[in-house]
Amino acid sequence: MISDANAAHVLLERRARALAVPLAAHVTVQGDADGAFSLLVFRLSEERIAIALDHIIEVHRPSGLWPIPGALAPVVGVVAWRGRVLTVLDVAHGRSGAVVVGDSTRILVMGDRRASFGIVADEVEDVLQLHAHQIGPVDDVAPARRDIVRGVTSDALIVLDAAGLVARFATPN
Amino acid sequence: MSLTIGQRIVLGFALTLTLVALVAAGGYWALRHTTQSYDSSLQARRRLLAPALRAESEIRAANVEHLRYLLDGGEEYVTGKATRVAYTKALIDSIASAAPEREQRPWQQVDSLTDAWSLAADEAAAARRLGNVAEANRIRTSRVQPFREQLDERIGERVEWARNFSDSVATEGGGTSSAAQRGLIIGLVIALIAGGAAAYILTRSINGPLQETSAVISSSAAQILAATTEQAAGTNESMAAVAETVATVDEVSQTANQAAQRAKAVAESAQRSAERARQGRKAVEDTTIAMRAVEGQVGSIAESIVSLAEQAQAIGEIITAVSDIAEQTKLLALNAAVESARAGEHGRGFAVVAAEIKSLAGQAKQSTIQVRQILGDIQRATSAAVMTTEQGTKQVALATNQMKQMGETITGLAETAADAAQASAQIVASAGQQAIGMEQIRQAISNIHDATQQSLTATRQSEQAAMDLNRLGLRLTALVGGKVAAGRAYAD
Repeated sequence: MISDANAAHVLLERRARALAVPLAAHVTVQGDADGAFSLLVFRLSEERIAIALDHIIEVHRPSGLWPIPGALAPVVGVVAWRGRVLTVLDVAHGRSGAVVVGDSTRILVMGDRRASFGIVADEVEDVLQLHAHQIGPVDDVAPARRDIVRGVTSDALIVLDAAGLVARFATPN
Repeated sequence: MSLTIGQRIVLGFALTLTLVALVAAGGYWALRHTTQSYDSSLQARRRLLAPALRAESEIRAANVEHLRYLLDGGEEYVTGKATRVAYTKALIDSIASAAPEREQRPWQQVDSLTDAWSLAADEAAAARRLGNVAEANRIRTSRVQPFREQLDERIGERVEWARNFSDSVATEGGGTSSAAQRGLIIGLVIALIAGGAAAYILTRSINGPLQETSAVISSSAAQILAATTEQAAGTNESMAAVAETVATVDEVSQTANQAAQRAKAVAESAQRSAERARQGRKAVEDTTIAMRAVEGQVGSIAESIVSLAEQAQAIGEIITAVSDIAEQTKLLALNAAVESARAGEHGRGFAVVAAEIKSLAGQAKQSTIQVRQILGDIQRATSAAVMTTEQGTKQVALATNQMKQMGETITGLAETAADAAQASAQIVASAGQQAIGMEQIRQAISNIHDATQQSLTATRQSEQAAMDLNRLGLRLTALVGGKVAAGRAYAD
């Protein structure tokens, strides 16, 4: 039990310094002039995931999610969006079973200029401003997901590589 | 046929006396008949044989007188002869009148022969009187002598008949006398046999039952003696039991007095209980009225709470709508933030607005969550209140019912207490009567004690009488020649 407020502050500062590691070399951060960039934070399965707003076209409230038989992960199904059918991905790690669409379920419509696919989110929490140095390396992420994860913050927020996702799963026009 | 001993004795003596009387009557009859026979014989001799002999004698005398006249010629002989003839005829007439009818004719012939002889004799006498002796002899020889011979023969026959007749009468009387003697002997023998038989039968018919009776008397006397002895012992035990009963009755009397006192206390307590029960019934009635008021108020509360629950439900729907709006607003704010981000530097201001809107939406969402929580608490409280109210209503109804039952119970208790008071009063009265009854019982048992004492005295007297009766039975048995059974001689 820490009784002294100064002692607690010292302890928190030491922890912050220990977590303040340099950004990975392969991670490119496209932020503001002050280095800050906006992320949309959502919860998926048991994870809190953030993704840059630059490649989000819309946050959509789906009326349903229709699974595609025989589809390979991370594709979990399709949704209807503005008269179009979008493929929906599940970027959660190790989800068991199908995705259940609830009141808080949202589809993040992703694309560069045109919607290409959707990412399912159990709940969208907030828009967060982060600096690049706040994002840690992907060492703690499973190897199979390292190609879509940009990094992990000190509070276990997984920051997805939005540009990589779009480049990888965007459908040709 | 069942006859008493007296009747049997009278019958035996009557039979014997009857036989004796029959024998005596037979003897009397035989004696009388013999007497009559001898009288008849004597009468026959006196009326028939004697006059016949006299007549025969008179005829012979008359013939002598006739012969004397013929020889001497004296007239006195004629007169003597006539007198004797007349006397003879009178005798013949008397004999004829006395003789049986069949003998009257022979005697009439004798009378006719007498007349014929007398007439012939008179003719001879007349010849003699005339001096004609030869004629007189001839007449005597030719006429008087034949008539004389016939007359003698006839009279002799009649005399013989009279003798035979009188002998036959006498013989008949002797036969009758012999028969009477035999009859008397036979009757005497029969009387003796009958008397002996009657005596034997009488003895048997009297002695046998008398022996049985005496034996029964002895046995009964012995049994009575044993019974009276046992009765005396039982009477002693009864006296002891009566003494114990007297003591018990005294104890019961004391117990009855205690019971009366306790019953009086119970009666007073029951009256107090009845008064308390009336008060309790009044309190229950007041409580019932109050419970009915509470029931009505609880019903109103239940209706209010139900209305409140319905309104809370409406509020929940509104909150749902607000929450949905907040969610839509948040979604719009997120999309505005996305658009502002896509707009780059130009959208920065709009991003701030979008962030504010999202923040407001989040606050609204949070507020709706809080309101929903509060509303959930209200609904839970309302539900709990509804359930509590329903339970309260049920409890009130149950309490009302229980109060009703309690009222009925208290009413019954009051009635029971009243009954108990009345019963206790009756018990008090009964206890008093019981005390009086116990006193009467004690008096009655005292009387029973006295009666038992008297009964004991009487039993001892009965025992003495039974001993006397046993002794008398033994004596009677000895008198009638019976055998005394072993173990019956209590008297000695």
